[in-house]
Amino acid sequence: MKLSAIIWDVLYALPLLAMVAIWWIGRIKSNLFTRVSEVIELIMVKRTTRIAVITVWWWLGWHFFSD
Amino acid sequence: MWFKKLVKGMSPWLPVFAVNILFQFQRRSPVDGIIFSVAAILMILDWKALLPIHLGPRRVFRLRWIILAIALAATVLYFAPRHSVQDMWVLLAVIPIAVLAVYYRDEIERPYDAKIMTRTTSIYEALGIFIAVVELAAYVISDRIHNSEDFPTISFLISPTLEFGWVRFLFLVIWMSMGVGLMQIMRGRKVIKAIDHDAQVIEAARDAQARFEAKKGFNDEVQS
Repeated sequence: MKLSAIIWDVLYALPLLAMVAIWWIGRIKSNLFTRVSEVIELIMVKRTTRIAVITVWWWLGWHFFSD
Repeated sequence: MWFKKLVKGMSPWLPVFAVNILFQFQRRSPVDGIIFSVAAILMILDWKALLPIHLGPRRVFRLRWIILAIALAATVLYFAPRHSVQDMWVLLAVIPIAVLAVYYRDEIERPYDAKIMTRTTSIYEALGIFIAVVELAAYVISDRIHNSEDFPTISFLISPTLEFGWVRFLFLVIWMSMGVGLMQIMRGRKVIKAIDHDAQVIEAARDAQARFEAKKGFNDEVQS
């Protein structure tokens, strides 16, 4: 595996790990970060946003499984 | 002035979708372009209140049906070859369920700590944008120099693993669970449970009040 490929893998992995860390901190220390469920609840209040988020989610499934 | 009036109340997702649609057509992926175009049209119709539909309260899906749907879909993907017609039907079958789960009356925002919420959403957004930029850079570079090995996109990394049935099974369970979380189907169940509980409490309180009044009436009768 070449160095550039490793760098690219790290560039994908780091933000994903950071997201998991924030999710975890939000669960144990609610004064630092909000729980993911509360964030989702807030962003899904408006129907237009719900359509957008669900489209992106569905497309991911379509892209990887069927496209 | 007319532009301000035109975009008033527009979802910030619409410009993002517009760029995405152009990108999908540019990379010669018309199906993806059409998918996002349909969603964008739905968003515009919804924004301009042009959809003549009656919106009821949030729908509730029973946990056993959710588990059954996920298990069925994952089993189909496990046995069917990748990119098969069966895969396509499973994905298409999710659309009406998603539409049912999305089209409900907008609910009132629950109170939250604005400072902590802004901090959390800002970090999630920054990380999401970072991944998108890295993915886009990998796509552009690999496309120019025809080398996806050194500059892999997320699809390039994940795609080979999806050739195995059990990986497809696992990914579908994760993907559908994400959908259940995003559509807040489980929260809907909790809300209904809370409403049922409130109704039971009110009923019990009414019973207690009726018994109290009956007893009070009897005591008054005895005293008189």
